Amino acid sequence: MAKLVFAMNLSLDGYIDHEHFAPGPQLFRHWIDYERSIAGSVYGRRMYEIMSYWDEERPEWTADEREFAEAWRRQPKWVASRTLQSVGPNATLIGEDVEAAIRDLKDRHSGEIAIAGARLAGSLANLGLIDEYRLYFHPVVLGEGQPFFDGVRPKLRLEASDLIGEGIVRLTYVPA
Amino acid sequence: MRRLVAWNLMTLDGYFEGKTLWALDFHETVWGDELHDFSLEQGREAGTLLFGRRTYEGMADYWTKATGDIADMMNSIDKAVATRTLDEATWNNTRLLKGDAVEAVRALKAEDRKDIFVFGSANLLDSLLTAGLVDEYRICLAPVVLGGGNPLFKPRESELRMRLESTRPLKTGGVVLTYRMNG
Repeated sequence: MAKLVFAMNLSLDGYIDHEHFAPGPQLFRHWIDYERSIAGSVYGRRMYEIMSYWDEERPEWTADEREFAEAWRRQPKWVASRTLQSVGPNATLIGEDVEAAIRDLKDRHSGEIAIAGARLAGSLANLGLIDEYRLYFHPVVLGEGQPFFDGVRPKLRLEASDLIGEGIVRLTYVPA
Repeated sequence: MRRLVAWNLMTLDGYFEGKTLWALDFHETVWGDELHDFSLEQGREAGTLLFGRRTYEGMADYWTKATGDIADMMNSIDKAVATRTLDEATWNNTRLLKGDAVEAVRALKAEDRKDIFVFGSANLLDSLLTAGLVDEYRICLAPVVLGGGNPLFKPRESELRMRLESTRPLKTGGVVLTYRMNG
């Protein structure tokens, strides 16, 4: 039985707008290790389109970027979308019944499955499917943006507080 | 020049109060011995407490009726309220800062006393952050998602970068984060 985890960078005031969180070397290493460790990821459409960037090799990439791309390509990806007709390598479209598909994935895998995309995470949380939240608070205030908790108000219990480096603190919560 | 330290409790989605004025029920999730002692420590560090008008009115109403060591500290300490509308401040030991808040706070920082602490007062803090007058921000993150309410940080022209100084998880499930402002 896999654990469903929503882990993401966010600002101190709770927004996930990714262009503000370009990782330094420590955080990037952390995410590379994380990508390697998981059983796979479930993507919402928008986040999948952003992350598909890593499918196509770029000559300007650094060694770390190539390592991340390799880890990202290797893991199985499941994409929840009503509009996409096809997805890239090592990715599968999830049909209409997202809840059944996620329950099936959790049953068939062990370890961790990552949720990518706040809207998707919100709807899965409302179905009681998210087992853990990891909030990577960056030392920045944005004032407005896309919320980490999108249309969901889970009751939470603090599980851990860890320093990642580069001014980032990771707070881990589980449903209370 | 003394330092200005902001202290607030905030939910994981960035709110310091709910949808109505003084909707602060979420404080109960993190309040306890540790924050009680922390409040007293901050009282000892503080030379002056600074408020915006709305926070001042609620605090004055609450603390003048309260008893105990925190109430004693709050009622006796030097206080200032930034306001365009108030003509007098009746809470013990409170001065009015009339006119331009940013200029008044610059003058307040130049006084030779212990540090200035700001509690609540999100609108005033927004102006002070923009003017670069906040030196340190201490935030207790409560394990709560409100889904709506009054955001602690307001929409701004550009992102505000800070430096993480320390983190301190509390037994209640709150986490106190301390940031230094750049510049």
